[in-house]
Amino acid sequence: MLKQSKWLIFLVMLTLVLTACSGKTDAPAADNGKKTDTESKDDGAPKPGGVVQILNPADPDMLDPHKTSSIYTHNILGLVYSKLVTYETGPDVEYSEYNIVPDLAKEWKISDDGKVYTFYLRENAKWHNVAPVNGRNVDAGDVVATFERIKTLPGHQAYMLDQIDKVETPDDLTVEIHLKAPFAPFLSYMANHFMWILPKEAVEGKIDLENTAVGTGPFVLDKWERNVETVFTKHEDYFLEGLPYLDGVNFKVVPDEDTRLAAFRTQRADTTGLLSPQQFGNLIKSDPNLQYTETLFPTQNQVYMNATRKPFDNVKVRKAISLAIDKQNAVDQIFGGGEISGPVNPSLGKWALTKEERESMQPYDVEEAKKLLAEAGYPDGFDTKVMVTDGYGEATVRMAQWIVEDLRSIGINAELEVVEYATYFTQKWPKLDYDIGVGFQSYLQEPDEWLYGQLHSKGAKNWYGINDPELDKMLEEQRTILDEAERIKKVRDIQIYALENVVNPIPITTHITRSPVQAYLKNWHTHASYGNIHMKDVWLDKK
Amino acid sequence: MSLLKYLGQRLVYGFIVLVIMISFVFIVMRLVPGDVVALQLAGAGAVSEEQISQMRAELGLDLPVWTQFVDWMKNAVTGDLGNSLWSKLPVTEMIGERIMITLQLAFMAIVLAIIIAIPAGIYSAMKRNTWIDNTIRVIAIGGLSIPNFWFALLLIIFLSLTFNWIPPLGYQSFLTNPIVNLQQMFLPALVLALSLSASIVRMTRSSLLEVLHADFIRTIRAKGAKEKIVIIKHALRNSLISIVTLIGLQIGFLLGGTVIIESIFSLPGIGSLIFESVTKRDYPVVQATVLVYGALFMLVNLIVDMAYGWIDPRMRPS
Repeated sequence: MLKQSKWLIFLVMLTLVLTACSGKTDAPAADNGKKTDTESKDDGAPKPGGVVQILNPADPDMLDPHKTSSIYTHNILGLVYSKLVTYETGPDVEYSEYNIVPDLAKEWKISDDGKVYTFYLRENAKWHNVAPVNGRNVDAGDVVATFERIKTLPGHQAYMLDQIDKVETPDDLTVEIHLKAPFAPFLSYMANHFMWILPKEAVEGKIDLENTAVGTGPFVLDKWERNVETVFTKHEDYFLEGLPYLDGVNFKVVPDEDTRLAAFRTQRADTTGLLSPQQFGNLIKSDPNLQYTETLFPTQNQVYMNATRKPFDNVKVRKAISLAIDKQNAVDQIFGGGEISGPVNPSLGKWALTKEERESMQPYDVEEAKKLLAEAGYPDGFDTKVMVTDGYGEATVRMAQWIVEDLRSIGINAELEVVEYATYFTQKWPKLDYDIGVGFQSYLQEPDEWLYGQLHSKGAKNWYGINDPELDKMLEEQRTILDEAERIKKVRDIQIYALENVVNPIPITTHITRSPVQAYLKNWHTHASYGNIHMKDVWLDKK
Repeated sequence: MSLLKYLGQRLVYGFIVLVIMISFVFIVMRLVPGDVVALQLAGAGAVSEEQISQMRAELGLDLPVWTQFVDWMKNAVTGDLGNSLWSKLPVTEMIGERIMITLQLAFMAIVLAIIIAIPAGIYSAMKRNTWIDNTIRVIAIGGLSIPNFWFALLLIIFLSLTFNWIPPLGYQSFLTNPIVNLQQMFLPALVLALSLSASIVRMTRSSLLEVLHADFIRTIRAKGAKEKIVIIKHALRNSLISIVTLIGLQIGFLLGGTVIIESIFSLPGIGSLIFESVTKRDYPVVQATVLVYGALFMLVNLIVDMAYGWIDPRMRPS
C-alpha cells in the first residue's frame, strides 16, 4: 500500500514537472521591438543579389488566376505576372493606401464622360524567356485575350468586367476600353489581382495555366513542387530598369506555426508570415530588438443576421445585438488588439470611416440594448442559434463564443452551432439557412465590393436578406461618381446610413497582425493587396 | 499449396472488404452537405446557374450518383483513380508522391522503435524489480503518456533555441538527396519511435516474464543452458507473437496517425492529403486515399498473419 502511494506521488510530481516545462505564453508587449515603418527609410544603397526565403502555411491547388481566389495562388502569381495598373508600395506608402500607379501600362487616359479608358503599354515590357513566348514584347493582343478569357470563364472576376462594352486596339501598344456606362470602380478593378495579364498563347491553350505561369513580372517561375516549395528567379529583362534586386525568391510550405517560428529563429526563413499574438509574444520576449511589420488585417469579423427571419427583420433587434457586443474588449482579448470596424474595412484607408466615427457609432451599451429589445417586443429576449465555422481558425470560433455570452447579457438565449467550412460556405451562409452568423469576409479591395456586394438587394454577397430601396439607390449612384473626393463623400454617407438603418452585417472588428522580418531584409514595404507586389524593391543586406 | 490457398482466400476477402468500404465512402461523401462546385466558385456571386451546371458537367458531377459510382469503379479496377476536382492532377500521381513519405517515415519509426524497445524490454524483464527495471518502466509510461506532437514541438523549439538549428526545410526525397532527406526524416521518425517503443517495451517485458515462468524454460535451465540462450533463443521467440501483433497494429496507426507530426516537420505525407480533400469535397482523392489506406491496412495484417506462421510453426494454416 505504502509502495503504491509512493508511486502515485512520483507520477503526480512527474506530471507537474512536465506541465511546467510547457511554459506559458504571454500577449505581446506593445512597446517592444522595431516596426519596419517609415523610420527605417534610410537603408542605404540597395545591394543586388540573394534569395529571400518565405514560409507559407499552405500551397495553392492550382495557378490559374481566373479559376481560384486563393491568396496562396495570387501571392505566387504576383511575382510572375503584371497588371495594366497596380498599387504603389514603398517607404512612404501605408499598407492600406491604395494609390494606383503604372504597371504594364506606362500611362492611361480616361475620357471626360468616364466611358473610355485608354491604356498605353510600355514598349520595353517583355514576356519571360520561356517557351512558347520566348521573351517577345507585350502587345495589346495579350490584354484583349486576357479580358476575353475572364469574361468567358465562370467565377470571381467576370463581374469586374461586366461594364465593358467593347475593347479596341488602335495600335499594338494601345488598348481602348469602352464602358456601357460610367463606372467609378473600374480603374481599381484593373489593379485587382484577378487582372494579371496573360500571354495570348496561354489563352489559346499553349501554356498549362493550372500548373505553370509565364508572365512579365519581376520574377520567373522556375519550379513549383507541390506542397514543398516554389522557386522564382530574377527576370533579367524586367521592364523597370535595375529591378528586381533579388536573384530569386523561394516559398516553402511549412504548415506548423511553431516550426515557422523556429525556422525564423534559425534564419532558415526571412519572414514567417502572420503569427498568433501568443507566438509573437514569445518571439519578442526572446529577441527584444526584433524587426516586424504591424498592420491591420485587411478584412474583418462580422456578425450577420438573417433579415428574412423573425425577429431579425426588425432593425431594433439588430441594433440591440450590435450594442450588446463588447467589440473592443473581444478583439483585444482574442486577437491581441485591433479596432472596431466599419462597413468598409479600415484597410481601405481613405474610403473607410475614421476610427472615432466607427467607435462612436457602434458603442457597447447593454442598458440601451435591453431597452431596444423591449421596444421591439422582446423584453425577455428570445432563443436563437449563432453559426460559426472552424474553417477560419480557432480565433473566429472564440469570437462567436464571446458573442454568445454577450447576447445572454441582454436575455437573448443563443446556442452556438459550429459548422464545417464547406457546409458553411456553400449551404448555410449563401442560402440564408441560419439565424445569426459570425465569420470573416474576404479581403475585398474596393469600397464597391464591400458596400454594393454586401448591401445591395442584388449584391453578389448579400447573403443576409438586405433589401432597402433607398440604400440601393445610393449604392448605384456611388458607382457613377467619377470625382474621387465626391465619391468618398458618398461612400461615407452610405456607411453612416448602413450603420444607422441597416445594422447588418455588423462589422465588429479588424485585428492587428504582426509578422517578424529579419533585420537584413530591406525595403520590405508590404501592401494589403494580393500578390507580394512589394517584392521587386526588396533587397538583402547580408554578407 | 494450402498456404497459397490461404493467401488466395485472404485476398478475395480483402477485395470484398475494400469494395464495401469504398462504396460506403463514395455514398457518404455525396451525402454530407457542402458542394465542391459552390466551393470552387466561392464568393463569385455573379455566377449564373448555367455556368454552375457547365462546371458540374466538366467535373462529371451532373451524372446520377450510381453512374458516377460504376464509372469510377470500372476505372479503378484498371488502376485509374480519376483526377482531383481541384488541382486536376491524376489522383494516383498525387497519392504516389505522398505515400512514399508516409511509408518511409513509418518504416524508419518502426525500425528505430524495435531497435530501442526490444533490447530495453528484454533487459527490463531480466532485471525485474531492480532500479533499472523501474527506470525503464517509468520512461515507458512517460513515453505512452506524452503526446508525440507535444514532444515534437519541444524538440524543435529546443533545437532552435539551444543549437540554432532545425532540420532543413523543403522536403527532398531519399533518391534525390539522401543526406538532406535523412536529416529531415530522422527527428520525426525518432519522435514517433519513442511513443511506439513505449508500448513495445512494456509488451516485450510482460510477455517475456510470462514465458520465463513457463515449465519448459525451467527445463531448459535445468539442462544447464546459458541464460543468454534461454532468453534469446527460447523465451523471446515464444513471446514474439504478441509483440509482432502489437507492431502490426502500430503500423496501421503510423499510416494514419502521423498527420500532425508530418505537419510539424513540414513533410507532405498522405495524412494531410485526406484531411484537405475531405474539407474541399475532392471526392476522387478521398475515395482513392481511403482505398489505399484500406489496402495497406489489409496488407499489413496479412503480413502479420504470415509472420505468425514463421514464428510459430504450429500456427501455420493447414
